[in-house]
Amino acid sequence: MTLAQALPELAKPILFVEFRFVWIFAIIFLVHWALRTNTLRKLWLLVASHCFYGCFFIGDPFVFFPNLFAGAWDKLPIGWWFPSLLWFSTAMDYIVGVRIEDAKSDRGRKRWVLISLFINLGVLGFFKYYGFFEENVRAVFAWLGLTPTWEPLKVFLPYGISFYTFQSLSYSIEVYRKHLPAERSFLNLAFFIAFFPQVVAGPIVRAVTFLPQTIKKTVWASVDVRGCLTLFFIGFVKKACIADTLAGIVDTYFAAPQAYNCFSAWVAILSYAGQIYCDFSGYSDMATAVARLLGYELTVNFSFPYFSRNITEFWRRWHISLSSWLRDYLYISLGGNRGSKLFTWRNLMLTMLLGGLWHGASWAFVIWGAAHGIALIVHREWTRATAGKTFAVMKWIAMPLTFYWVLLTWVPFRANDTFVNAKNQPVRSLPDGFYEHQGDKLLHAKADLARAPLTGDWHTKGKPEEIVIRKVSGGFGTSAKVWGSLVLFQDNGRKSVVKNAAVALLAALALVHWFCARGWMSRWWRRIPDYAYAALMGVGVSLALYMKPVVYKAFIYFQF
Amino acid sequence: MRATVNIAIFVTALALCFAALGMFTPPPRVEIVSPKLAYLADHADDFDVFFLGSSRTYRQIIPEVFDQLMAEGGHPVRSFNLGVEGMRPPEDTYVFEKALARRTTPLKLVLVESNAIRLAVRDGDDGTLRATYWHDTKRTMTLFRRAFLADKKKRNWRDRIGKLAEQAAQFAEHAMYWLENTSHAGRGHEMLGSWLSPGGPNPLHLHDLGPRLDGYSRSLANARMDPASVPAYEKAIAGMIEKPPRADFGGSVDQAEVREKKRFIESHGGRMFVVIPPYAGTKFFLPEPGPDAPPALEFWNPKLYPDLFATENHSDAGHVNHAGAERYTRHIVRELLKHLSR
Repeated sequence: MTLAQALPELAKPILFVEFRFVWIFAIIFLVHWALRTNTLRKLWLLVASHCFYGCFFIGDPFVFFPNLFAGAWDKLPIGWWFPSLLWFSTAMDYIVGVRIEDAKSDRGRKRWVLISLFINLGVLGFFKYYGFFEENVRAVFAWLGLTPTWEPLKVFLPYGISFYTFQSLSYSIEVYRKHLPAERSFLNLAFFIAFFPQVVAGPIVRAVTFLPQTIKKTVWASVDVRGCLTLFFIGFVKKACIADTLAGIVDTYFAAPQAYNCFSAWVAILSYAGQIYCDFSGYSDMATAVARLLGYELTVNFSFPYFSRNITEFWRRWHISLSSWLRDYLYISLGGNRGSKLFTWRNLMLTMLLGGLWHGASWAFVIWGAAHGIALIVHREWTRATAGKTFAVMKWIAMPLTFYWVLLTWVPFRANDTFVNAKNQPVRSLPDGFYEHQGDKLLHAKADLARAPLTGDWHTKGKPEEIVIRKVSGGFGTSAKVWGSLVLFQDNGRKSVVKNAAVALLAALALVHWFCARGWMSRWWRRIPDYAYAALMGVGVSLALYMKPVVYKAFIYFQF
Repeated sequence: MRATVNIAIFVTALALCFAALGMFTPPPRVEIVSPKLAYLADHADDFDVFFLGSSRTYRQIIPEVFDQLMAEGGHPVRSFNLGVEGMRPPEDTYVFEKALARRTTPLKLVLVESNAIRLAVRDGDDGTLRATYWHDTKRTMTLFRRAFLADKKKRNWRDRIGKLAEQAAQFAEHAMYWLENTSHAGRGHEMLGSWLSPGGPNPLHLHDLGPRLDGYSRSLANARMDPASVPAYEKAIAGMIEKPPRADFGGSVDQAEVREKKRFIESHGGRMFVVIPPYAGTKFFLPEPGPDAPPALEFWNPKLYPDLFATENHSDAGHVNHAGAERYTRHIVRELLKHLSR
């Protein structure tokens, strides 16, 4: 292998759990702390962040750059220009922020914030929802017996666009609301939006939280190294050891739910609840730890959501950075609860529907959002109706009931039914490298790098560099079958997805999670001496490496 | 100082834990390799001839034909095809050492496909157990020597830095695999997956050993060459006839690896032959001639072996099909008997 062959390896998308990340981060970390001035440090991190983000798109740099400079556009990988969207969003919000502050009237301020909203959401909407929109228009045409004459436009979703668009919007809105002065330093704003630990999959950091941190020079003495290492280790264990292990059970079950019994449905959905929590909160933990090691603080994203006693509390504990963003910038902007009952219901429902759609362009996410919207309305009315009353039974059933509802809503989220009834409807297109196939059979759901995990039988058709994946059997079947097992305790088939003993594994995980929620495991490691901590980390890291998968699954939230 | 001590404690704990985990971790399950090694562990002394190499051995040498022809030539043997898709030095030495680990009786012959050390990891194997499992310290040191010490050209300092960066990049990937292998990374995950599975661990695919359990799998060799690729292949063969491929002796580390392999085979009482398979190319690796060099059976010449290069006997440009494999095995035996009778 030559250097020219080795560099593309380095230029592949980097996951926090890979060995590769440790070396790359070591360089970023050492250079960052070696630099003397705050400006140089931010500049270095900005460059590193854009390299990190660019890795997701450009492929082999030895092919990419010569082709780029030669103007051989047709030879560049699909989406090669997506990193420029990040620059565009930054530049646009920089100008908007300054203009809002400089505007002499409220009308002028409003006009500029609306420009920011329109452009940011327009770009996000186009990339995220165009395919969904067209797919449904085509379905309507087919239903009317018409054949669309236009060629489908192939639109691919840039990684992280949902996250950095919301971050960027938070800046414009906060400046508009006068909660934050306009950022006059382009470097600070660019650094805030592109900061690599959170650019691809959050947490969605608010400008008001992060921008003040860019003013002061970071100080190494204030970095809690033990805390950062422990948090990164916990995140690694959650993602690599737990989420990816549970993913095996989930993927097996959801590939053919019709073959499995009711027990399997329960194990699979409990496993998925564990997988998605550990996957996303593990990523958030690692991102937070990495940012802290560089002297920056991100937003807390999870707070033991499965121990919530109602759905409102669940949303205060699950994906906090998104739910609080939706609350502050959408729900409250819509009027919140300052109106009639129906008005509040509408606002709750709209917020959750849009929250669902934020996750992806699919009716499955709309249903997921609607289910949570309904639950929030029901809980709100229940709370009002029972104000001042106590029900002893609620003490026992509130938490299991909430968790059960959350489990039921995870079904469409994971099954990701297409609701396309006709067979062989193209449901998504993927660029090269996002799939593995043998002939026309899709082997590996590598597509979850770019889109939702695949379920059911799929086959592929198209040129190797640009392939269309079609779901062989469409429709609402998968979710309905799983719900049948979870609600009516129906067996869909006779097979079992795992041994009964797997329940012990899930119970053990739940128990550890409960201990953690009680705070019983959060402080003792701070009290032990350094040498004991070092030895313990040695044992912990070796066990974590032992239990990690050989080939990692992409983070679920990369697709959003 | 305190930080150094803490790092030393961390590394010691890590290493001790790796060693402890290694004691009860079964060998990794790697496609084609594991079934062959598992079978040979149970039948350590059943075979006295081995074929070692890549798919050009695995798909191309038929032990059944070989044994029959050798018996007819007065050398009754029982052979085993230890070829594995994409297996090149130093992986092949690792596999062979494992294959002979339980052997008690002497070997007769080992036919090793002639290949130089490959630093690149095969396409599709990146990050998989297949790329990791053979990266023990010995093999990784061989790769280190190959990356850093094989090139003796004199360069100015600028080129030297460039070369060093290239060598470091070449070796870094293997160092990573060594770390993964030493830490048994992913093995607990694999075991847990097997434990959770209702049917328990999947049985090893014995069909990789072929119907006669001799390591040759006919199922892979039945294909015909894609008609679309025939013109390019025929052009390449015509080019080979016009300008024969040249012998490439590789570097000092490649030659040392051949000598090491020869010593190992001789220590088990066997005799090593290198085999240059028929394929369209411009050069082929050859051990440096000398009194210690293993004899070479060369089939690279389309003029001498037109049947081995005929399109009807190929499944693709690089491999013969089953019909070609029969012919190839016959040619090998014929050449081998000539050597043995000397």
